[in-house]
Amino acid sequence: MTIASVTASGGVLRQSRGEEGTPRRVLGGACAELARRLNAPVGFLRGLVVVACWFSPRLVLVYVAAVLLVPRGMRRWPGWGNLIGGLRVGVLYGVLFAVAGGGVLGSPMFDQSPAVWITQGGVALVTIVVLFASPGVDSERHQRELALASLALIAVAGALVLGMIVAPQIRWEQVAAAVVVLTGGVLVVGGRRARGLLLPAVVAASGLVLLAASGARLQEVSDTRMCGPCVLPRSRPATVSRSGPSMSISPRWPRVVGC
Amino acid sequence: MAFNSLSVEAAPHPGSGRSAPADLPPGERGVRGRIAAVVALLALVALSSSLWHGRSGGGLGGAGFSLAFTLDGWRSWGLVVLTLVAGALLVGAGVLWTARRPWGIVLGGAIVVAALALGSWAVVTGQRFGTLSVAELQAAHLGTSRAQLEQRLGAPLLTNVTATASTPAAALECDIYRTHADSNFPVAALCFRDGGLALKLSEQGGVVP
Repeated sequence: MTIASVTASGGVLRQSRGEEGTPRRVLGGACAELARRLNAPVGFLRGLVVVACWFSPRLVLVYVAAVLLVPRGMRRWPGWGNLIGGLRVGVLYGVLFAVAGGGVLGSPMFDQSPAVWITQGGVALVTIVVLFASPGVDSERHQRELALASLALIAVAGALVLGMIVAPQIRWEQVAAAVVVLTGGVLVVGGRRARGLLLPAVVAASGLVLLAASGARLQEVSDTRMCGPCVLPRSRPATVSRSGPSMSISPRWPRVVGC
Repeated sequence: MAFNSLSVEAAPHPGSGRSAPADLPPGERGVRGRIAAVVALLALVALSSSLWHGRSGGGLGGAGFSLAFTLDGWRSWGLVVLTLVAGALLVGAGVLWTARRPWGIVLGGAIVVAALALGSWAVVTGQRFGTLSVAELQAAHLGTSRAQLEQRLGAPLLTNVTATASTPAAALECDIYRTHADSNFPVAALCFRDGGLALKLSEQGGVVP
């Protein structure tokens, strides 16, 4: 026992809840930190937070603020651990939004074919399980490595979005796949020094599997037209020609009946 | 073991000789610990107020105007006040949990009592709305000011709902009233232009002359 405290309960010597006495951090670590500071049951606090956020979803912002701003352990100021907690909350939000919000990539999940939703649901489920089961990173150096690598991942994602806006003709999902492969190469070459990249690379690869499973492209679509099955005149068979990102159908739409 | 590796964080406060529940191990936190837990749970009850009635939508139309609205059964400030009450209860629970001195306990108790009083007032007043009977709707004169009508009829269920028209410039601002004292539906709408009553709509009868 390195840190001990004399409690008021008959002068019994017991271990205090110092930094190593903090309850296990599950997601952002705010409840565990509050439980340590208040010497309160962490399960009760987690229950309070979950139910309160369900009743009033805007309280999630208060939780995120606590994750980012409440210093961990004996620190006086927020550190890399706070940033990692915030990133973990962000990953969970992203997965839940993708699956339960607008459906994966914009359409209700179970409206898609089983090949699509089983893959997407599986990736989402595995991400959630890994997120909750992954042990916290305690070392300051490892926290810094992980946080910087995650910020690099966010920067790459931002660059992809920017690229889609600036150069919509490029297949950016292929660029993203190349970046993930490159990251894998850096992991192999860098060895232990590059292990901070491992988790972000796994998250990025999972995202790409999600994309590939849905068949979506990271391309800006300027015009989308939906139509039902077409009946083409026998006298004029249709031909579809494709040039780069654009596609044309001959004969043109007005001559096609039943669309 | 060196003495400087010890922390005496859980000792009773030297002035009062008392410990807070936060200082004590599980199972020995006493009545005050349980009260603090109950107060924290009461904060959840206050936060759940948005679910009590559920949200319901509706619409009215006539004379080229249409309006759609969503009711949550509370005055516009009601849910804000109850959220503040929930926050105050959590603060009170925290003070009760950590206070070592008697004045800290009194402060925590005062915060809890004040929050409960404010919450009770908000629950009673926040769901009190004026009722607009069919006779009152017909008797309301076009051109009457909004303030006069609200003084006479009581608080509307919903204020400043825009009634859209074919031309945006012709849009009206409407107040939605319940037509029966014991139910939010059916409703009627009083629509205003330049502060004066311009249109009366009833959910059952459309435009009211």
